[in-house]
Amino acid sequence: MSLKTYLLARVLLAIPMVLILLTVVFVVLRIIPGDPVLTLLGGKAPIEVIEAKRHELGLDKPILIQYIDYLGNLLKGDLGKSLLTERPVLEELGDRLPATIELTIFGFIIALVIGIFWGAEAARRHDSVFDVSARVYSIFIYSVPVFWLGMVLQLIFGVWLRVLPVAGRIPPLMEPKHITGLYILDALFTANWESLKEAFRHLLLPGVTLGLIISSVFLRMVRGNMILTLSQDYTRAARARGIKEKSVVYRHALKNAMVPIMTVMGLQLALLFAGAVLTETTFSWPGIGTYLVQKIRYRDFMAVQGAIVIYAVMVVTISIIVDIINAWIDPRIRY
Amino acid sequence: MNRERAVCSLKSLKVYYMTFDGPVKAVDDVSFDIHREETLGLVGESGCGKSTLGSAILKILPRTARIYGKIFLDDTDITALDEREMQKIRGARISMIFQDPMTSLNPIMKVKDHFIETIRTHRPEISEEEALEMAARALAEVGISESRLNDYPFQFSGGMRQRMMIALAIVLRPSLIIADEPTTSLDVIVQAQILELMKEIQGHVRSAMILITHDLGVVAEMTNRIGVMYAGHLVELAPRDSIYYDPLHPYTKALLESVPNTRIEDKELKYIDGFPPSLLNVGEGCRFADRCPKARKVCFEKTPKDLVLEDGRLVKCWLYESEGQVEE
Repeated sequence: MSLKTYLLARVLLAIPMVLILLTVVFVVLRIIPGDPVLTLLGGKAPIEVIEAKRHELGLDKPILIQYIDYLGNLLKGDLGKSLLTERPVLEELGDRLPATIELTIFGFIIALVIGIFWGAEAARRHDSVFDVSARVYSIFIYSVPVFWLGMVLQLIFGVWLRVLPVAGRIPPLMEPKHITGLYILDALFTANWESLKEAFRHLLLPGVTLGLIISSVFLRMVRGNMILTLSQDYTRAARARGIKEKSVVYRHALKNAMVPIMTVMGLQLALLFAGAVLTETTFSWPGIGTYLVQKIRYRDFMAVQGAIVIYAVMVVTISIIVDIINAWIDPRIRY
Repeated sequence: MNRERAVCSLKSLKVYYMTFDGPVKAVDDVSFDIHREETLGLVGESGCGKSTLGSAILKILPRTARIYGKIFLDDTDITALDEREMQKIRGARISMIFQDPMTSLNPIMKVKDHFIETIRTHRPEISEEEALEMAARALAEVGISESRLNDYPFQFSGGMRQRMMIALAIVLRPSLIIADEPTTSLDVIVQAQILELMKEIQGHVRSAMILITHDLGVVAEMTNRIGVMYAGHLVELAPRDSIYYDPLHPYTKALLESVPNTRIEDKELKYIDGFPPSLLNVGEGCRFADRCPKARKVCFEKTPKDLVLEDGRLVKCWLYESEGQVEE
């Protein structure tokens, strides 16, 4: 099977996956207690008003009809309108997505650097102080809740030292001109240094929090897989050919360890793009995560469904990209 | 015997693995010389220290290992060299052929990249094109077509991969090749081809070779001299024919008798009763004494010296005390 047919199969398989996910979410949202219209209008609204609203939103139709309508619209690329704000869900998600992407990429880079370098060195110097500290660090960070770590950092840098902001993306009125929606990039493109500085200062705490949390997973993955590849015959053979230690570790051992690591990292990245819910909530970061929490609270069916669709598309896209990268790294997958 | 200066000589080499329970004396007090164009076979059963010895010469042992004694390569004592200087020697002046060619090549690197990396690490002045030409020549020497430089290791069979390992080992014309069980993982027909090839290659590379194996048939075919190892000691070292037709050490005798022979019928295959001793905290005394039919009291109490007999053979056994000279 060539890579092309393989990828095509992956994309086609993603369709039933998204459909099942969507169906479950659709049904569950309507089973759990809570009514969007009641939440919207408050408990004291007259019954006629409630009924009228319900009719207006199409919620009085049988569930099956609602479901078919929804799928029909979805095929046209229409995610529907938010029950709460009556804005198109796609537009709302579009507003939120750049914030999440910015946070995710920043956190991901931090996690990559910590995970790869510390993990590789820990594997190379197995059982040294360096390695033991890596193990303690990753277990500690892994067991710490995100919001706790976030709050501790807020306390230290925001409250005690007063050097970093603890919430939001940027002070009002300082947003750079909208190009990509990623403030850091936009500020760079427009050479708006004040905005760049502020955007970065705001990004720092949530980004570091997120980065540290996922770095523990990466570190353990990299360390474990590298211990394996470093004990393989080909690393020993490379050493016996006089290859420099750095090349042995990074070119031979790390690259061979990369395939399983990439798979886990890709999934992590997909999860994060869909919203690092707890991190975003802790830092009032206006991304998909806070959006989702808010919309669930208001039982905004349409918005929640929309976010889930985006989520599924992200996971599928990224895992396909990971497959392509893996095939590029390891010829045995390619052939 | 051979008056020429030795390519490599070991002077009471000891390799101990440090464990919480004490040192494991994997190689203990081994000395020998090896000359240009000579093939020295090192035989012995599993765990006798022969592979440790091979890796010790390249200093690619696990971190728990400690090396004592001296290893001279030409005139340099390489035990005194640091890691960076050792890297210059590995692959260029001493190279190694490993047991399992299936796993000794990096699965995600093209064949040509193995060569380019090795050549350019040692001789950065060589351009990539020249390195490729050198690789093509080395591959031609082992009978692999140049066109396969762009392939990956998994596209080759086991025998082909071992050919490739050999090409990689000789591409920089080392003065010493250490072959650690080079044919053990191959099937018999391929084994024969690889051995033939190694002989031929050594003939025109003119290097010295240490052939580590447990296969007495292989050493008989390939070597000039044979060293027999037992439990970390080099118990006998002699020209090939002397070992086969006139073994001196009781272990060598027992080892040869335990080889199946199709010509002698109705004879039950002999075996050596018992097990080799644990090398952890092993003390004085001949290590074979427990299993030796001729053991005397002294054998259990004092380690025999390396005795050099009149014809230059070396044997480490109390039986020959009166016949040989103690090597200093």
